[in-house]
Amino acid sequence: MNPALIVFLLGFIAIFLLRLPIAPGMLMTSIFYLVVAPGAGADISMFAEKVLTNLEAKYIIIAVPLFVFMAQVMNSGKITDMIFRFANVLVGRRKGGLGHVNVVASIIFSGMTGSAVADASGLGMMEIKAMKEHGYEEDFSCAVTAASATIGPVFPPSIPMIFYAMLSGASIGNLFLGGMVPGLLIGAALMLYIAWIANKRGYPRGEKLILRDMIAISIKAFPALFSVVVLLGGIYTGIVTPTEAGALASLYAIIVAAFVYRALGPKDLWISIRDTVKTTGSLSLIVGCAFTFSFIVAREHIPQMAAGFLLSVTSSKALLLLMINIVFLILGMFIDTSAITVVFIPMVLPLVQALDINLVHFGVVVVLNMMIGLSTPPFGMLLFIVSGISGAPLKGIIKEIFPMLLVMIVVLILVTYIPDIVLFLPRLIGH
Amino acid sequence: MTSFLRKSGMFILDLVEIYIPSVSFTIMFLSFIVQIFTRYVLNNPLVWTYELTIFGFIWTALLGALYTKRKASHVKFTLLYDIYGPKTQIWVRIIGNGLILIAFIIGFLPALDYVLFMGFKRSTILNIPYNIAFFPFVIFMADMIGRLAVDVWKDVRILIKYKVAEA
Repeated sequence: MNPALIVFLLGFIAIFLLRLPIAPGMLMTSIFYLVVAPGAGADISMFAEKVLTNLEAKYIIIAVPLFVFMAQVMNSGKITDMIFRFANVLVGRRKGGLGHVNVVASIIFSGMTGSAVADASGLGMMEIKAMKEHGYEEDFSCAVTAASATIGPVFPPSIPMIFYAMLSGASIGNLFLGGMVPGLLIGAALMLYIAWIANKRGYPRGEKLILRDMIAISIKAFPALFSVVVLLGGIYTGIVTPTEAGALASLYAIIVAAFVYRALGPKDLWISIRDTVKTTGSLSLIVGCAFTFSFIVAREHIPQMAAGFLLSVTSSKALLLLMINIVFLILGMFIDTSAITVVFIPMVLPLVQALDINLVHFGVVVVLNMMIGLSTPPFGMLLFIVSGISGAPLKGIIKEIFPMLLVMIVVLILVTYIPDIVLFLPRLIGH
Repeated sequence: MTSFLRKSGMFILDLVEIYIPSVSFTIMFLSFIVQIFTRYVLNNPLVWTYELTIFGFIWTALLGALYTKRKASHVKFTLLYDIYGPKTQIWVRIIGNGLILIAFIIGFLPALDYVLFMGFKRSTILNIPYNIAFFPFVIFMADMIGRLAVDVWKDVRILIKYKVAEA
């Protein structure tokens, strides 16, 4: 093994061992590698060149701050409140109604933002509070909120899918379409589980609304719900690109929150912009630094080595997909999804191509997998978020979320081994 | 005098880490809106908006990363760190921040050279030199070096106090 590769691997280990911030840690590793690396094409300034030229060239990544901004505006304005009330009209009357409302609200919200964290932290507080007030156990309320938030990045739009598209070259439009059915399947599976548990524990039905109230709530929620049409309709009619759709839907959200619901003042808008800058700084720097990292990974032929190793274990497509799923599920429990996407996806892509696995199918499988990891104990980030906003201890939430995780893993297995679940819509629409 | 200097320093930091990236984001966002409006409503697409969105994004991302650092919000893997003892945690922070600091000091001049070298290239429509478009990377490196040095210094002092208390 050459000294530069040893330095690179030591730097990589140090990121995890010394709790280094991942993006600056990747830069550090790249700089030390370039200092030691011999030969042409390994000048130290290359780390700056890779970060800057890729941030400039990968235009699709600009969609990320726009989707983050849209989620911030929606959480600041009354839009999440409207979504919750509308979901209540749709499914609140069922036994365990608020559990179902929680899932349906997440599905609707996921059509507006691409982030599970935005879902859990935005809708989550409202959902957990309402469920507690209606006699649901706090642990169960938190677990449903965390599990349903995983739908966010699976159903379009999706920030992890944008990262994946950028790295793999897969069509972002197809990835978004491919995520629709799996997102709805997760929602349906969770609702089936909630229905079963609601019967078992005797959870209440929601209050009966008279038709006039239902119509009034639906009309009031319409401007908020129309943002899904602006975003997805804009993309799939081909009127705007996914990036432009992010900007258009953000503008729409500002107009609705400020002028229709009168819940977004200049101060709220400023806070939304400032928080967007903070999140963009974190996500975009990881992506930028990952390009330097990927350059080194490719220079040292690491993906080929990984592919060769895995293919020497087995050449069965089904078994390799299972192995990749298990590895990503474990990674998702411990590491941030953006870091997994930019660091580990490039390592397995050659293998995926060698096995002739459809890139859109694989992208949706990996995103779904990582989102399940976000709710998986002991370190799934969504668990910490719902525990933080509710004050409920993690132990009880973990106990309640286990059956939901099993339900989601069943969906993951179905999506992994029946590619048509993902590819059916992109083929139907003719992409 | 010290108070004035401190206030001025804080203002400059706020300017670089919060206000400029926020303005860059706003410019990027508005450019998109203008781009969509002129393309789909006026049927007369503009090209300069494309350049502004890209450069606005680069400035937002790199200077925003400094605000992320200020708020200690960069993504980290904390699993192992959380099980270390308090004294080990201080050592880990010193070594970790120290390593990044050394790397950034080594990389600063080559990065500056690269950014200045890119001055030869200009954007097609707005004629913006790339050394200006890419300059936030130099600011990012310099600000990170300063902040990391302060972090290391603070942790060294904590470690000294810890050792004195132990003695």
